[in-house]
Amino acid sequence: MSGEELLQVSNLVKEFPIRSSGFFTKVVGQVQAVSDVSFDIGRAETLGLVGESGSGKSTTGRAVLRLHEPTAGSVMFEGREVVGLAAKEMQRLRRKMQIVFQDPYASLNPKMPVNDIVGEPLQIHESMTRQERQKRVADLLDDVGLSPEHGNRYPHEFSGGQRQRIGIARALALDPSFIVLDEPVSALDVSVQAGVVNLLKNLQTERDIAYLFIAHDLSVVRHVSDRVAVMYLGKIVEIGDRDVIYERPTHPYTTALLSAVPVPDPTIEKVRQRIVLEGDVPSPVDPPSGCRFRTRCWKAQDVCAAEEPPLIEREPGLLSACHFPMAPGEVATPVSLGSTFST
Amino acid sequence: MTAVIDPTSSGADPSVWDDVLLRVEDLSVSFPTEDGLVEAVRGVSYEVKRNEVFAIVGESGCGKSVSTMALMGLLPRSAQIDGRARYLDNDLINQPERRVRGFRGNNISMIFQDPMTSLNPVYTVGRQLAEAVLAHERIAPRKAKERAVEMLDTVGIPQARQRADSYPHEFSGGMRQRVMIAMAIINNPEIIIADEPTTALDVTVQAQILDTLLEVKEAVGAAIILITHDLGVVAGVADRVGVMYAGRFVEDGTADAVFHRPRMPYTAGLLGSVPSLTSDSGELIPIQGAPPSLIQPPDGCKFAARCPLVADVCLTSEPPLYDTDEPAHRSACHRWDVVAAESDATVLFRDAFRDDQELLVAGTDTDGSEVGA
Repeated sequence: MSGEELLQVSNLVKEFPIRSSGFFTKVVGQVQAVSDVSFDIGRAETLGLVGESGSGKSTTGRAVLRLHEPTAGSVMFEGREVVGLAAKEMQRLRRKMQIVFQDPYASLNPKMPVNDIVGEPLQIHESMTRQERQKRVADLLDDVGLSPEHGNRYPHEFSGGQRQRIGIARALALDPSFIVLDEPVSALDVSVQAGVVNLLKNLQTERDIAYLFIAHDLSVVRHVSDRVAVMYLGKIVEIGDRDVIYERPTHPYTTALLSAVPVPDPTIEKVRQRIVLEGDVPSPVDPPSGCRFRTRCWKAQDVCAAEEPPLIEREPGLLSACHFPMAPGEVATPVSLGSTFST
Repeated sequence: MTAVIDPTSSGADPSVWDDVLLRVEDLSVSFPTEDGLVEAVRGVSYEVKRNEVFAIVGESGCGKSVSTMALMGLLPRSAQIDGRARYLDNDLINQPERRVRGFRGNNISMIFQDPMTSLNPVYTVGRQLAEAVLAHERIAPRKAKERAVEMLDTVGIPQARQRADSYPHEFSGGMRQRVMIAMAIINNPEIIIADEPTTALDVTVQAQILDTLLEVKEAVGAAIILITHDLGVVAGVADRVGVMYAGRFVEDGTADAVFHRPRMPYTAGLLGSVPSLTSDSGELIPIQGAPPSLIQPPDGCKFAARCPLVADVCLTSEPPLYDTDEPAHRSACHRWDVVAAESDATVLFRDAFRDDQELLVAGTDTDGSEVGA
C-alpha cells in the first residue's frame, strides 16, 4: 500500500492520573488508556481504527497529534519526531496534521460565522490579505460541497451533515497531509452519512491526504479503509489489510466483533452465526493480566493469564496478538443463533 | 374487540384480528413553538399484534419517538394530540392522567435509550424495581423486592440478590440496560415499547441486549414496538416494519418485504446508503437533500424534493398508504409500481446521484436544502 511511511507510531503510551477525591487531591494511580501501541500510515492511505468505547481509540488519535501529551513512545511524522518537539516547531508542524471531531454541534463556535471558522487557521498560520483569505475560504466551502454564500451564516443554520462539511473545510484549510477523523460520521443519519463518506474519499484522492479514521461502525470502516487496526482495552489486538481482516480475522475479539454487527438484511440475519461475548469490557484501571481479552474469551487458557501475547504475523499483511488464533474456517464454540443465556 | 374498524384500512388479514393488542388510528401530534406549529406526527395508523415485534424505523426528527410517547401520555402539556389509540378496549389518547397511569408501566411499558438518565441515581436498583411493582399492585414490599430479584435474574444479571442492593452507577451500561428491561417486564406487560434500546451500547453488548429482549418477550408473552434508526437491528429482530418519514408512515410490511422489495423510494434510498460489512460496497449513494421543515410542510409528498422519481402529482397531493402488489405491504408513493418494476430499487438513486455529481462539479451543494431554515 505505502512503501513510504508518512506517520510511524511506536510504542505509544498514554496514561491518565487517577486522583483521590477531596480538597487535597493526590495522584493515587494511573489509567493506561493507550498501552504500547505501534502502527504506520503511508501517504494518502487510510488506517481505520476500531474498538468499543473505552478501547483507547480516540486517545490514540489525540496522542498522535499531541492534543494529549503522550506519556511514552515515539511519533515520527514525515521523518521528524513529534514527541518532545518545541512549541514553535510543533506549531509549524500542525499545519500538516489536522483533526475532524465527532460532534458537529459542539466543535464549531456558535458565535462565529462560517467564513471565520474556516478562515481562522489561515489567519493564524498564513500571512494573507483579507481578500486572499476570503477567496481561499470560498474555494474550501466549494470543495466540501457547500456554496460560498453560506459563509456569512452561523453554525446553527446548518444541518448535521453540513456542519460536518464545515469542520472538514476547516481541517483542509492549511492543506494538510494527515487528518485524524475521530468518529466523523457517527452523529449523522445514514442517508447523510453516505454523502460525507464519499466527500472524504474524494478529497483523499484529490489531495493525497492520509487518514486515521476512528470509528466504532465496522461497516463504515470497511468502506473507507485500506488497512484496519482493532483495539481492545488500550492495545492493538489485530492489524492488517482491510479485506484480510474482515474476511479472515484471526483474533477471537475481531471475530466476535464482526459477528455482532447487525446486517440490514433479514434473510442473512436469521441464519448468521453470532458470537455473543459475555460480560463487558473490564475497567482499564485494573486490566486483566496477560491477554486483556481473556476474561471474555472462550478460548482462554492458563497461558493467557500468565503471558501477554505479542503481535505476530499470521499471513502476509495481517498481525494479531493471540496465543490461540482462529484457524481458517474455525467455528467459534459459543456461537448462538438466538441466545447464550440460560434461565 | 369492540371497536368496529374497516379492516381494509389496515392492510391486515382480518382472520388475525383478535390478536390485535394495540390499534393506533390517524394519530397526530403538534407542538406550538415561537416559529409556528410543528407538525411532528401527521396521521399515523398501525396495529400491533400479540407476540410480534413491530419496528418503527426512521431518521432523526421523523416523529418515531413522539408518536409512541403520545400513547404513553409522556408528552408535555403543550403538545396537541389528535386521533385514536386503543389498547384492547381502552382509549389511550387524551385520557385523564390517573387512567393512563393505570396502563403505563403495567400493561404497556417502555425502555428508553439512555439507561443512565432513566434510573434514579440515589436509590438502589432493587428499590426502583420494587417501586414499579408497588405502583400497580397492593402487595407487601418484601414480596415486591423478591419479584425485583427474580426479574434481575431473568434478564441475566449475575448474583441478582446482591446486585439488587447496588446503585445504578455501580453497573456498566449494558447491565443498566438489563435493569431497564427488568423494570419493563416486572408487571408482566402485554406491550413493551423499546425506544432505541441499544443505541448507546457497544456492538458486542448490543447483541447481548437484543438477545435478552427477545428472550424475555417470549417469557412474558409480550409484543414489542421497537423504535430505531438502525436498519441492521431491525433486520435481525422485527417481524413487521413501518418506515417513518416527516411524521408519517411511508411504507409498512413484513421485514422481509420491506428490506428485499421496498416499494417506497425513501426506503430504497436508505438501504442503498448503508455501507456493507461483508463486501466492498463501491461508492455509497446518499439521498440528496434533507427532510422538510415540519412547520407548514410543503404540499404533496414530503419526500418529493429528494426523490429521483418525482412527478407532477407528487408536488400537489400527498400519497396515502397504497396497497401494493404484495399483501400487507403498503407504500405511500404515487409511483410505487415504478419502484416495483426495478429488481434492485436502490438503482434509482444511483442514476440520480450520477446526474447530481455532474451538477456538483458545476458548483451546487449536496445536502443544502435546509440552509437558512
